[in-house]
Amino acid sequence: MNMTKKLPSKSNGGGGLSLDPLRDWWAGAAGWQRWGVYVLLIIGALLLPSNAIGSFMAPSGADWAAMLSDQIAIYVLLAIGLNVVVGMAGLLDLGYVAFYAVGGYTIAIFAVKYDWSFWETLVLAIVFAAASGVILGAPTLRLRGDYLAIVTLGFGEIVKRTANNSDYVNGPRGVQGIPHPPTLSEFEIFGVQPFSYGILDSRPYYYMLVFFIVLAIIFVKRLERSRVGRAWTSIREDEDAAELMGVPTFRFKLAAFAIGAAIGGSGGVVFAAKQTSILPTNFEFMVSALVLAAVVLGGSGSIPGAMLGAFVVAWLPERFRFLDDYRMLLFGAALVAMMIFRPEGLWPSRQRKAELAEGGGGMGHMGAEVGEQQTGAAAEVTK
Amino acid sequence: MMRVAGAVAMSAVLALGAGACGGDGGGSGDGDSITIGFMGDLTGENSGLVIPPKQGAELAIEQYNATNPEVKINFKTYDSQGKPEQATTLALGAVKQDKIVGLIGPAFSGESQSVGPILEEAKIPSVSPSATSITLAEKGWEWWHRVVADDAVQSAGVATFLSSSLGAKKVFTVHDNQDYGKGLADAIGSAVKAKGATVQTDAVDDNATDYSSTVNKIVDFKPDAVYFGGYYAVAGRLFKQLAEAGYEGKMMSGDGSLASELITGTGEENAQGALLSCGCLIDTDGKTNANAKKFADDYKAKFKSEVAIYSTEGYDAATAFIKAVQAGNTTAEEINKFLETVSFDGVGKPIKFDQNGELAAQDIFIYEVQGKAIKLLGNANEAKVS
Repeated sequence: MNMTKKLPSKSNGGGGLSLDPLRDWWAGAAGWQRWGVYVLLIIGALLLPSNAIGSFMAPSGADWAAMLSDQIAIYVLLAIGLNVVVGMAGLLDLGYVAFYAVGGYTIAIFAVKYDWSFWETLVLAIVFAAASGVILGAPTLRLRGDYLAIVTLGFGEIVKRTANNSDYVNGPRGVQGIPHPPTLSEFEIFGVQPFSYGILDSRPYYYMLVFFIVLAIIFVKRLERSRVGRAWTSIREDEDAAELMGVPTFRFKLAAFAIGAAIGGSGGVVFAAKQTSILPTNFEFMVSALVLAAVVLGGSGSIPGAMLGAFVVAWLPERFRFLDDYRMLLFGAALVAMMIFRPEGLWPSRQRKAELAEGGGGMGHMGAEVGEQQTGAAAEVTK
Repeated sequence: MMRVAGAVAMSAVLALGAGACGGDGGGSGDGDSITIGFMGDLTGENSGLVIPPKQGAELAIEQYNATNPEVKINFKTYDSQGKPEQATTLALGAVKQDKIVGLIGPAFSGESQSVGPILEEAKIPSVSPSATSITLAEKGWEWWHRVVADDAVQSAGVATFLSSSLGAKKVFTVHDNQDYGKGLADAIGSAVKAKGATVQTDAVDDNATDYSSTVNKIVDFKPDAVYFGGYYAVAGRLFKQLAEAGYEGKMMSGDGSLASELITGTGEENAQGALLSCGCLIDTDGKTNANAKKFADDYKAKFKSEVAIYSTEGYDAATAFIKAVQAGNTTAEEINKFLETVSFDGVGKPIKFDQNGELAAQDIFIYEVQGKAIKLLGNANEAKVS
């Protein structure tokens, strides 16, 4: 089923850079055309670490392939996960880094202390991260909006502090000597060994992350189009109405939390295996904030938007590294400019954009754009 | 519409400008020039500890290039902000794109843990001016060196100083629960204990501002000396609150607090007589050797500031590479081979590495806050409090 078809194609928000003609074509495109675009996108993603692109994207000394794998692809994966929680189900989560940390520490503990292999710890980490999502969600998801944000923020700090104070994981020294994933084959194509996980070549990790990202997109997209996705939408738009209409909101919210956490946990595993060492300071609140910024900047609720946002958030500060002290200032200015020119995000979800235009939609107190409608509604209530 | 177009045009101009600036990175290996990198926290929160060694290294290489040598050295800096995950990205770029033949740094121990394996596999020698973690030398890295004594040596030196020179019977150690601070404070606690002193310990939160619970414990314990392991920002706050609570024993801290910001943080009056230990040498008067005086003068002439923490070590690390190049070694492999046997008198200490890459001469120096300056008292084994 394609919901976007039924929505009016005229938009009234945002600036002049509209994606609508492209979207109309996409909505009407035949199956083979869509698959063609998907394949082209994946091929494009696989060619991304080439030097020709890198010389423009990463001119100031950093290794482009490493930048792609260590920062950009990880943030893209995290943003896809957080998008489920924030964008689709409308739950404001400020402690997302906790799940990323759970993934990282799972591989650190089980690979270093118990000699588990990368793939075993990956499965375990996903389970643990999802479980921690349930553990956090079960008592807290009855809260909404600002309250939920504060509780999740606290959870992020708790995980980091626990790691910092626990001798079992070496406290502030972190865990060193996490093994790389085992090399799958020495197979070589265009001078790259895409399945050989060593220390000098970051490209195999990037390909692995692309694989995870594609999997996550398929998974999340299937969910979005299913009964679960529609339940999330209804919760995001009006939780009380959804509950009254018979949607078991608590269970769906918990599911959103667990799925988002599982995706975040897998990112943590790859990060730890690539870096071979992790410290509690890898999991600062800043990561949560940046991933949330990525989701909102890209267009909350839209998977391509979240990916684009994550790319921008991870890449811009690195690209303008030569500006030294001013680059964060410029980065902030870019974010502010974004808010002015495209408040609904770089690549908004069409459905959400329509709901925002209609007013009253989305994420409770989070979006500034919902203000007018809410005061209207409030006025009606007080009458 | 126009506004959007303007924003797009502006970002395009910015991006193009960036491309133009990025072009001058300079690869090495074209026969008459090679590239040596410097990696550390140059714009982050602890950059006060890393800019001085960067300037020291820069001065050494500039002086070398001014002699019109056959092979010139390009100096390229990598700003890791002290974050391991950024350091690895930069290290890979330095190895692959800039083709560095040697690296001065990484400055901190945390980033050294992550960057070490990369340099090891890429076969690039490194000389750190300031990474002091004990575990670094235990990894068996063949391409890694440092020109500063590790935390074990520092704690032994401090223990000697505290018990012999100060005659401290009761010592209170405080740390900030971070990698560096906890390691140092714990090591000092056990070293002092081994010398027969009683020790109590406590941790403070580096983000907090009120340390009254720790201060109360210290005042109750009435130690002869308090040793703080951590960085200057926290040390300043702790010492200030200690002084205000009426504590009268000695206050001491390590290399992470050896910055003039400590005096401003503590307050000039409260900070008087505070002691600092460091494996680094800051010797503006040439107390220890004649080279130090000349270096301090050159440094001041170029950067308009006094030599500070680790600038001597930055200079000596760069000099080790320069000596290698002067002896006709231009590849990473030759340079590493040369570093195994290098032996010269640096502006700080004699530079000679053992097989783990540790400095053979392991001196710890004691400093004291006097007026607005931090003055060298001397080697930890013989320093006397004024």
